[in-house]
Amino acid sequence: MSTSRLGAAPKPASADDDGFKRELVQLIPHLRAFARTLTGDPTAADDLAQDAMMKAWDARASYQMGTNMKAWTFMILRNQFYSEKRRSWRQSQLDQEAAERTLVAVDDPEAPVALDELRQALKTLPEEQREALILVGAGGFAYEEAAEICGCAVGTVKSRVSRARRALAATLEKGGYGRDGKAAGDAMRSILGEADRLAGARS
Amino acid sequence: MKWEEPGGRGDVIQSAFLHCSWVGGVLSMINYSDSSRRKDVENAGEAGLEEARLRQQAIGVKLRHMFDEVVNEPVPDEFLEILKRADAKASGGGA
Repeated sequence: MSTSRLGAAPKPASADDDGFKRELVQLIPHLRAFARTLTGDPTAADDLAQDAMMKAWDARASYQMGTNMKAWTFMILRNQFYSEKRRSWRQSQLDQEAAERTLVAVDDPEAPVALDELRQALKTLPEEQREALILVGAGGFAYEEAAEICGCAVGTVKSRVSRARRALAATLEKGGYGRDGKAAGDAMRSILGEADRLAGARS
Repeated sequence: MKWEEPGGRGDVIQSAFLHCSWVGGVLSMINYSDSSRRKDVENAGEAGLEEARLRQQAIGVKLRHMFDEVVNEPVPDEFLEILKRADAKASGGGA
């Protein structure tokens, strides 16, 4: 696509490149998961994750080996997501609709109901709260790392995460999107039960 | 837990509440019933906090599970192919 005008000679394939590539490959599953939470749509998410992966590869010269590559690639992915979104909000509308269809389409009777309810509840959160909660609550990032990824202050991330947690609990408690005419509070009850089951399965 | 009642009874409730706390204050000067009642309130508060903590814990478990489900999916071949092509180009072997 864009040819370098600086005419810099391509970096020779070095041990550095190999190490970088190995680390990058290991991060692909995490990039896919983060992209999925941002877009909500598996296909759009993989496109985004691939773009981010290639951006990271192209920028490998600016990456310092030994620093936090996961946080660095997540930041690239996030920036990519928002710049694409700004470029064509119309497309992102479509993505949103696709995401909703996908979320509704999960109709596996074996699938735990609570997962769906959590996804629905997540969608009701403001974007910046959702991403902060995902990074800290699911991605395993420290507040400081999440702040770096989102380009904001650590205190801001902390307050976003805590607001997101409160809002999520309230939404689940309320169960305002009634599935199968279930009584209010069932969403939280099923999540509590499901969490117990998962904890039991893990140990 | 609704305090707003139709017919402006909120004022009545509030004044009753004020009256109660005043009476409670007087009682506490006489005996220790107020402090034991306060302990009850504290216990109820702790139970509420514990409940909220459990809920947050459950949400956390689900959230990680949701994320890990995708992490544990097999990576589509496309990813590695794209990277391989880029790598080949970088090392000058690509056409």
